[in-house]
Amino acid sequence: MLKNRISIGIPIETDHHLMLRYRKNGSGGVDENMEQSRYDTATTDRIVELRLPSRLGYERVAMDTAAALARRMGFDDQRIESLRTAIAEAVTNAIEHGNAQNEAMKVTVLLTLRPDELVVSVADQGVRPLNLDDLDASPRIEDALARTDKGGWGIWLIRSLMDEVEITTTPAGGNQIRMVIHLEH
Amino acid sequence: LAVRSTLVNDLEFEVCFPSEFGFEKIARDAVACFARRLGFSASQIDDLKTVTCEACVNAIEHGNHCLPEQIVQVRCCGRSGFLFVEIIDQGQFTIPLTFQAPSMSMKLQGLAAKRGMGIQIIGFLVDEFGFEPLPEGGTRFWFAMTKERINDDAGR
Repeated sequence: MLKNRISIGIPIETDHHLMLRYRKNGSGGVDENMEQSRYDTATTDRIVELRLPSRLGYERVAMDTAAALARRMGFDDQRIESLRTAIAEAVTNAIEHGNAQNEAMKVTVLLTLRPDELVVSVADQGVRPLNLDDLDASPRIEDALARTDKGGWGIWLIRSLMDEVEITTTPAGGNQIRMVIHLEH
Repeated sequence: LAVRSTLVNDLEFEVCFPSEFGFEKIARDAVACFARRLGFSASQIDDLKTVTCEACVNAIEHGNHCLPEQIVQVRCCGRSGFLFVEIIDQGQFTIPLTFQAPSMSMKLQGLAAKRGMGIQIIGFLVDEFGFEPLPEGGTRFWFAMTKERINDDAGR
């Protein structure tokens, strides 16, 4: 077994392209006080980006990460649970339907921190595009009881738990759901 | 690098965040959750969290000089039994090829800065680690953990 071996390498070719995920909204500068929490500065969006494998169970990584962020932003436990449930639904949909559980395909989750809200965007690679026309209808419990498949409640649940929800198709053809949860002071 | 190449087709997870203190905890929780899904033990996940935090703080502070517009990228490759993590910054920090962490006695005697134990701590907690400058700038730090160490943990 490899054990405590230190390696100092030489430059190699790499396929890493770090994407700039930082945007200034205003003219304010960056707080230079390193010890101070930055979540209260009103001038910037901070974006955490996750790329998950399309395997059921790994939605928990997104749930836990978003919950950790929300906790640091000051959301209460009840709102954090709502957020976790909404993200679980959105990422599960992306894994199961959007990417058809093809583990080579990624689900991308963007968590955008703003002073008064957290914006969560979940995107898949669109093997099975959502029918956007069907998403506005509320599911009926009678219909669900009559079906073998009891699914189909995810979008309704997300809309019930989040303050804003928008479902679109990405330019590349994937499905994207954008959810906003407001920080209530 | 040989270790990494065997993991290309395995499960991959990635998290990117701005270079601000505090985000290392978000990365820590994300990597821990990923490792939990792979079946790593609670004890190893504790080690993993410590190492991830140390490496991310180094990337934020030394690599990206705490500039929020500079991104830290954490990539994990794994399967049940093995985890490979790399932390990439965009900075210009030059790694001294003769790097040797000062000893604790040197620190206690005031002959070295009190800080700078991160690499030593990392060395105690993972199976293998290393770092290298990247051609496009920045530094790639990596470490590997195997699940077989669970047996080692049981004995200590």
